[in-house]
Amino acid sequence: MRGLKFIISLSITLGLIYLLDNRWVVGEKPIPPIGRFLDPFNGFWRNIEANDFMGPSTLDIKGLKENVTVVYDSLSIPHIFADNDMDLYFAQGYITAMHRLWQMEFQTHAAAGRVSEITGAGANDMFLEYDRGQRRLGMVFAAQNSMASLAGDQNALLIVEKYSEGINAFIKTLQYKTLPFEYKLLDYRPEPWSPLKCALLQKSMEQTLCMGDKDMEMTNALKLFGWDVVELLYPDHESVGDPIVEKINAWNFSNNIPDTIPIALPEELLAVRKLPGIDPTIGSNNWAVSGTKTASGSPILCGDPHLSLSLPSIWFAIQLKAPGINTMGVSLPGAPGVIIGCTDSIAWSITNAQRDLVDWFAITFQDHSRTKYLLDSQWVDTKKVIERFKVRGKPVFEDTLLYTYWGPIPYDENYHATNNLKGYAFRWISHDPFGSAIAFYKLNRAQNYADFMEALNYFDAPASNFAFASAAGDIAMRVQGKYPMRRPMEGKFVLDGSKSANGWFGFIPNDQNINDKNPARGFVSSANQYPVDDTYPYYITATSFEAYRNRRINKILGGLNNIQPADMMKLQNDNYNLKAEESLPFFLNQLDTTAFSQPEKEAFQLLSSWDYFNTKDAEAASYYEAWWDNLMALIWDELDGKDINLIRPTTFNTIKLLQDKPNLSFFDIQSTPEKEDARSVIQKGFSIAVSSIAGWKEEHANVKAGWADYKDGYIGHLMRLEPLGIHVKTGGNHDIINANSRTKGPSWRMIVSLEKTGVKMWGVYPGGQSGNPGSTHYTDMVDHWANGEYYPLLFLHKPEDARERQFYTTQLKRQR
Amino acid sequence: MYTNEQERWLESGQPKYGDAQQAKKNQMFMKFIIQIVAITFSAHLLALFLPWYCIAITPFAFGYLLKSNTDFLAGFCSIAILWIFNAWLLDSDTSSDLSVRVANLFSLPSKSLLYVIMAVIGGLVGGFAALSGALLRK
Repeated sequence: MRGLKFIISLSITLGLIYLLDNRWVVGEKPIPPIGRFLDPFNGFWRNIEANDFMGPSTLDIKGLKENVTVVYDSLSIPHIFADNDMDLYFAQGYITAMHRLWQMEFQTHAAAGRVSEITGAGANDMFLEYDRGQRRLGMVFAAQNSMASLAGDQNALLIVEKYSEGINAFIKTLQYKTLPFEYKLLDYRPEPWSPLKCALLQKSMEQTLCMGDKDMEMTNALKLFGWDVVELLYPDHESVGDPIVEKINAWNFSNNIPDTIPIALPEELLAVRKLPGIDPTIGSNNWAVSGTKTASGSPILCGDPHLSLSLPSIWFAIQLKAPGINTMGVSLPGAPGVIIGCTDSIAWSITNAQRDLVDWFAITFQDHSRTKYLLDSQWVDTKKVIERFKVRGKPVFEDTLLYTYWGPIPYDENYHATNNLKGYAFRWISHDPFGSAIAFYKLNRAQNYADFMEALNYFDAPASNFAFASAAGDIAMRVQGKYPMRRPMEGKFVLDGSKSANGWFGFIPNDQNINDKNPARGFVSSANQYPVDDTYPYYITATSFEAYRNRRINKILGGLNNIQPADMMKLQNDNYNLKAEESLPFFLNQLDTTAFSQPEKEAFQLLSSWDYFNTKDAEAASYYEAWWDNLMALIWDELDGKDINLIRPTTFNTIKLLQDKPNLSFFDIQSTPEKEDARSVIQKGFSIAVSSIAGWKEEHANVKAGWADYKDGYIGHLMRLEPLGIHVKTGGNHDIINANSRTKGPSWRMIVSLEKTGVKMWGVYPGGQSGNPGSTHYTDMVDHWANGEYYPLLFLHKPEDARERQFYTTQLKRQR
Repeated sequence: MYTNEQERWLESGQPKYGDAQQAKKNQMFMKFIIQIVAITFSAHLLALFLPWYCIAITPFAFGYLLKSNTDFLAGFCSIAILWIFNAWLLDSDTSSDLSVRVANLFSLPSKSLLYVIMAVIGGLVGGFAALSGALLRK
């Protein structure tokens, strides 16, 4: 009897341990091994950093040639001092992994379509669907091609290999107790890093920045509405503001391009649930002012790349110093080098060039087996690739992907397509074998304009506008990337994939890319607008170009003299809503004020007296933005509601159409019996906006809908776990220099004054240096960032210079 | 200092029935306290080197060695106290709010509930381990 009791009790004990030492999924919700996770000796509590936390003062590391010194400053930014390149990149890998390992690995898993290995298939297979999409877009294929291109370049290979070795040296030190928080929560362990992961990270940036297109949407629009409407709704060039570079008739080359290309209009309209492309509200600003316009007489360079904001932050600030290199700025965890920043003689910052680098080719299959397709009058074999997905908790899922001469066919009857059994092949510039590691290797060592130009010759993607300034006094702008030479209209519509001659027949040579040095106006700037004047010989198209920020920047910069860094900080945080200035008086004029409700009267008054600044407490900004969002949806309801692929025209063009073509058929709201024109659709948009804000006020028990409160800015965790994100109060919006929309905005604000006595840098980003949610450095820069304040950043020549700004120092000691 | 009755009893050297019961109770209580102290300290030591489920080892051992009527309770309380105290040590000396975030991740309204759940989880393992140890001893 007693023996039985013992056995029962022991079984309960062991059963409990088993239960609490394993991950369970209860109703789609994963629960970590709760005993292990909550154990205060090894579990998540160990990720809480104490108030007096400091990193280790020495680390013995195998793989270093010499000792390396890492000085952390008060923001926990590491300043790495090494004796040679190999140790420098090894240390960058090691130190970055110490603070951001989970993020580095998760981002590369996401790029490679491997999230479901960690999370399981998810509700409605959402993670598996995401993973399949990544593989079908050829992300791993692209990264492998990029790796192959590195093979011939000793420097590029050395960088990624040493960087990877550093990461792996850190991974080897980990025990459960010291694992980053997310590994404990999600219950898995890091796998060894490899150079391929660096390439995957690079490709994931390219996916974010240069995978956008509207070919299918334009093809459908052409079929549905005809040429005239397409030209009216989607002009290639909106002709507003200054292009990034204006050198009329100074382009002394011709394009030698045949002038037509066949479009392949499909028999039926294209209906594909397309994977999300580039978000048109993401953009960036950069500019450089020459010494003639500054108080110090030295150039100032400014940059604020706008991205989806997330935690851990997308950027990791770092200084790298070794013989021949001293660079400071922000890096991408997972990529060696500094991406945006300065050396001791030059500075640079990047915005997206927007250019169309994606084409879709209609494929003619021989039969339903899709084993052969037509190319240059022959039936050619498709290449079948079986993608395997090791979905957590499920058997391996297999997906068959077809590759053609053009690239993969992402959408077919097995994935996201509803009618296009014909198949469309995806041609993306980033499938080509290139990598940009060497460009940053050279840029991080550049001393002058010539070095800068030489470095950029190695930069292929994502196509970017590089603003440049040097301590020698030069400023410059270069619109660099690998661009196909396009025939007029090429790339705007789906193309016929049965003839190889329809493909890109060449790339614009680097020396014919758009660039400008020391222009007469005394500054260079870019904000994702149309890049060049009309005399540039090559045809340019994109999903959209920016129309507002660029004009505001140029207007202010044109009027400023004796510029101080503080003026530049003010400009980066400028909340002026040029779109509102240009549209609101017109909108208000269209309103019939006689039948206003009380809230409508109040909103009308607020808007009428608004100064067009989207400041945090501006209630008029909330009304204007809500009005605009509702109006946009009412106007383009014909495009939004369809199963087939269509796209909205740009904000700028919509406002222009409202003013110029008040009777355009699109202004009619399809769900109402009456026929709306510009005036009545504007009125309806207003009523809906006012009542939705009234609803918001009721819900929030608030008498005022201040813009920051109403917008409710949010920086989410990469895993989209609500409690790990934070809410922020910010002014601005998309189309405004301070480009903070709800979840997107300036991911890094940088100002560099290139003084002869030494380069000075100020910066801030919405997050913190630590990727650990248990660290005070997880979000410690957010308040400064939201308030438009900056930190003067340390740019050291030797470790001792940090003085009172030193937080702690870690010696990386070589271990034999 | 003593009442007359107590003095007489002390002089007689004879235990009184009710007092004997009280003494036994005291003895049991002392044993319970000793069990808790022994388990807590030894479990703390082991936890520095072993995975979390080492919290079953010392309650089992001291359930066996110090068998009492309250083995389960002793095991439960020891581990609950050990875990709460150590979690609190880490959580009180930080300006990070990770414990609140974790509570929210588990849809708990406050971090006190997270502590309760943690204590119950550790406590149950410790309790059943102690009970098993005691039952093993004939």
